Amino acid sequence: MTRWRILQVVPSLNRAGAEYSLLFAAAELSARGHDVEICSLHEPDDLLGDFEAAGLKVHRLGLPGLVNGPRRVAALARVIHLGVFDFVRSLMAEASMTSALTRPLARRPIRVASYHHVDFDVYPANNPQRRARRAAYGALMRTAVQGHVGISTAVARHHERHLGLRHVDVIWNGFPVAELQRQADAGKADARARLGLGNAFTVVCPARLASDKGHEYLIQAAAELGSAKVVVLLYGAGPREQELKRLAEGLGLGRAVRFMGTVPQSELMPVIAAADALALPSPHGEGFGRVLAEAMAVGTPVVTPGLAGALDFVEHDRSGLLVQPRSSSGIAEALGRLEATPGLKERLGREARRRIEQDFDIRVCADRWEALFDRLAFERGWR
Amino acid sequence: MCGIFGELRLDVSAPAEPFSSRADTSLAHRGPDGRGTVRSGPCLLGHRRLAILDLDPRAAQPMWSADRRVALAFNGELYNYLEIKARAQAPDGGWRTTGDTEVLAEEWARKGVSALSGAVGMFAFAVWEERRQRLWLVRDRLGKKPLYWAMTRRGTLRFASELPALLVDDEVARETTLDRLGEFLQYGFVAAPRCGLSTVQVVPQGCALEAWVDDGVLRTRVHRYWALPSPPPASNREAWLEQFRATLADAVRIRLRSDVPLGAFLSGGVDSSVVSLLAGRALSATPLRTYTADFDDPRYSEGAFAREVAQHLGSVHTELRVAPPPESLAAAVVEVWGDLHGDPSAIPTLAITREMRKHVTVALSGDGGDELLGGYARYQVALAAHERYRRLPGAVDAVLATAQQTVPTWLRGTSRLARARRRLEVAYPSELRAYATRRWPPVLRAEAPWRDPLELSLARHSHRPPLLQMMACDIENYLPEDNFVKVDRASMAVGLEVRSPLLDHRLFELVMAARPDWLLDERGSKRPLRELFSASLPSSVFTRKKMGFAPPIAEWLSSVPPELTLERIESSAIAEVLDRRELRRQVRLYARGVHGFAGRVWYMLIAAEWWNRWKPTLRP
Repeated sequence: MTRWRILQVVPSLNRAGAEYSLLFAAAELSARGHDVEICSLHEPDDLLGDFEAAGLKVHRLGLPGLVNGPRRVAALARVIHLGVFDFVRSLMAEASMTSALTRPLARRPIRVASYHHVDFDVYPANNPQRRARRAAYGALMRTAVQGHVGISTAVARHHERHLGLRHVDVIWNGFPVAELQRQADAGKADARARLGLGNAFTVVCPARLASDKGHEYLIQAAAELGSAKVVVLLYGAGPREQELKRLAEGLGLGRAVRFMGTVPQSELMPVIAAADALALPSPHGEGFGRVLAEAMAVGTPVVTPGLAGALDFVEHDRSGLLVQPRSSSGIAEALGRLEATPGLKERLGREARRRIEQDFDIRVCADRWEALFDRLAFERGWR
Repeated sequence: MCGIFGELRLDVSAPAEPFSSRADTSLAHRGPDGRGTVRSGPCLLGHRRLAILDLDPRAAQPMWSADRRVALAFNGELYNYLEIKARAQAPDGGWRTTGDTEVLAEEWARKGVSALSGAVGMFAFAVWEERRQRLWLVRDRLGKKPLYWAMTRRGTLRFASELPALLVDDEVARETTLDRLGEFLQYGFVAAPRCGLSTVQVVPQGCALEAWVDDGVLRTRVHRYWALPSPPPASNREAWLEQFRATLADAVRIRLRSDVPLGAFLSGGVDSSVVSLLAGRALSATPLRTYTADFDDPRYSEGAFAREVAQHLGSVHTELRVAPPPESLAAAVVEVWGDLHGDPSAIPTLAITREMRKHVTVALSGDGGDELLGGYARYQVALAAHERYRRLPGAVDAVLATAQQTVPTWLRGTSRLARARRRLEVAYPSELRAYATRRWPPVLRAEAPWRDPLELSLARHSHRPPLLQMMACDIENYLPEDNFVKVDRASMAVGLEVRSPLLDHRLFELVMAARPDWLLDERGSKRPLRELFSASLPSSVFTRKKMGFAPPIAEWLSSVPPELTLERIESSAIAEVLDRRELRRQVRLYARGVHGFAGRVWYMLIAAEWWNRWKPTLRP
């Protein structure tokens, strides 16, 4: 129960899964008496207010791009040095490389890198520049970083293989389950009426409208099910918005597929809780899949490809339904089954809720971070 | 004020160990007025009582809440229990006692750890939630009351108010590490959550430890329910000063609640005079009794100052003659303290509390004024250095920063290079590190890396103005690890309760919103006390030279010849880990009277006696 000083370095305070998981973990570790500070390398700072509201000190370097690389390293080294941190935990490649490069200038802290994605195969190092960058990344992680953490088993193994790391620990992203359930319960009763859903079979998909999320498979699945049977609510914004709208309209789903834009978590959770299913059709899987876990926490069954992070907490036909990747028919079949089988939604939802409450509460996640910090400190000789 | 102990067992079916009766005996001095234990499933709570409020046996502890949801073993005082009681809903069957323990038990049963949000007091307590099967170990906001815990060889969690009560048998391994010794020999304490033994921990200030058995594993989790706040700076000084006055008056008022005789320490200095003044006003009907410790050596006597203030206040004043303690000082201190604690003023504190106990059971003191209102001269020295180098150009600053951390630590010592390094540290005080890093030449043969608690504290509070940053560092380290330990052990050794209104957490919260010049101006420190009370106290209180708590420690220490001190250290098993040459050199410097080395040698003597007492195994 040593009170550690921890700096969490993140590329930006974007409104995304990794940053939210950082916010939850940092707030919980802070409530346990650790000193947690945040350092963002550059904009956007969308979540700045949330971090500050949680009482966390945020250092904003505001140094984007390759051209600012040396200044970024120097500025981060100064923050680390003056802050007398025990641990510097970095999230994702850009922050981890910057943190590793500060080591000669600020040697005191133990460095921990968090890995969040499974995209080395998706974005292969197929030219000399990418190969050099990948090689540098691996070398820096192996030599300048003492702790390695993947947010799911798949992410951990993926990085062991691609970066040549001996061992990557797994610490799942946690979130405040009870708080989320409270948010969901608060607005669940009138969510359907508010959105005019009636008794329609409602599938919600909260994900950035980008190609790695595979919305087209869900829209095609809705077409296979028939526009009269299903309503799909797509939450989020992104570069593919117009393309996906055209696809839906082309399939005659102009009314069945609704683009809801970006809404705050407190508004989204009641909708997820009131929906019949949450689908996340990412063709390459998710590093973790936070929205899946959040839906499961409020007892909404999930449908997603049996890939990567989801495999850690979605057990097929027990706590959710796993489908083939890139398969609209697979999604359609799973959603059809949910609609047609009496009691299936409730059974999956119950087990999903139990699974998340047991292993994915932020307190359990913080327990694991504390255990990792204690172990690394012991190895360093801090008793 | 009492002693508590207990355990949470992993295996309920295992035969009970004789821990309970032995711990009870070990803590008897903390609570001569009563004893009790409660066993519920895997949990044992034990209590030794020093009765202060509600002397009736119905107020005995451990105490169950009316609905028997929680059992509480409480050490300390909840000063504002009457206000909480007035707001709280009475339990079924009404309140059973007139004391504070029942109020806390009922509040905890209803609200859990949130019960502490409005609580003002000094406490360390254990709560057993029977339905949830959870044990909570809670320490007050500033860490005034002690609470140690450890895991035994059989996986049982044990806790107690004092370290020796945990070590009544061989169940808790006696192990230590070099970095603990390194930290102690540097600062005279080992900061929480660590203590001298690596197998024992301390619940830190403002924290609650939750423990439960889950799937055959005993789990613990720490919750910090309070931290020194960082409020936005107050803008209106008059309003702030008025709030400070009202809070201080209330802090004194609620500390006068007692069903046993009460008096006040009065040295004639600012802090104790203000506390006595406010206590006298609050008591109004009966005159306050004040006491001064007077030493035979006239250089340290504060008797005349105290007499003048007492006369002015109209208190019933008594002067306590404090004699030098016996020869085996260090051994006596370790016997009473149990843990590694190096402040030599422990000796006169013990002598004074012993005398005071002959007259009263509860004593008000002016402790905390220096930490609360920037009273230490060291703050002013560090601020002057900070001001001098603050305007260094950024590039020079950066070069110094890099140079500072690249100078290897082995250069520490008294060599010219080490002095250069020291200058470098003083020259780079942007984070006031010079204030913390009072590096003495290491005396350990091989120094293990350790996390410097003062350096970490300064970094933690780097967002505050420099004065508040240093004060926050003292509030987190010097107060709980040195001052509170000293006052608690010395008073509890004789069954005396010491209450310090200037250590009310509400005052510290207020001060963190003050501008530094509201506390410290060109006329000196403690500006609020000066402005609020100079008209009500003799002028000598504010004009006399500050003495601090400076009884003739050096003379008492030097009553033992240096050769005997050296022999005492070298004959201890701790000598194995000390660098003999450096040890002898430092003892020689001490014998020659070189400033600072008396304290160094005292630390080593304490470490040697502590080592002799517990015979710990040294772990790498």
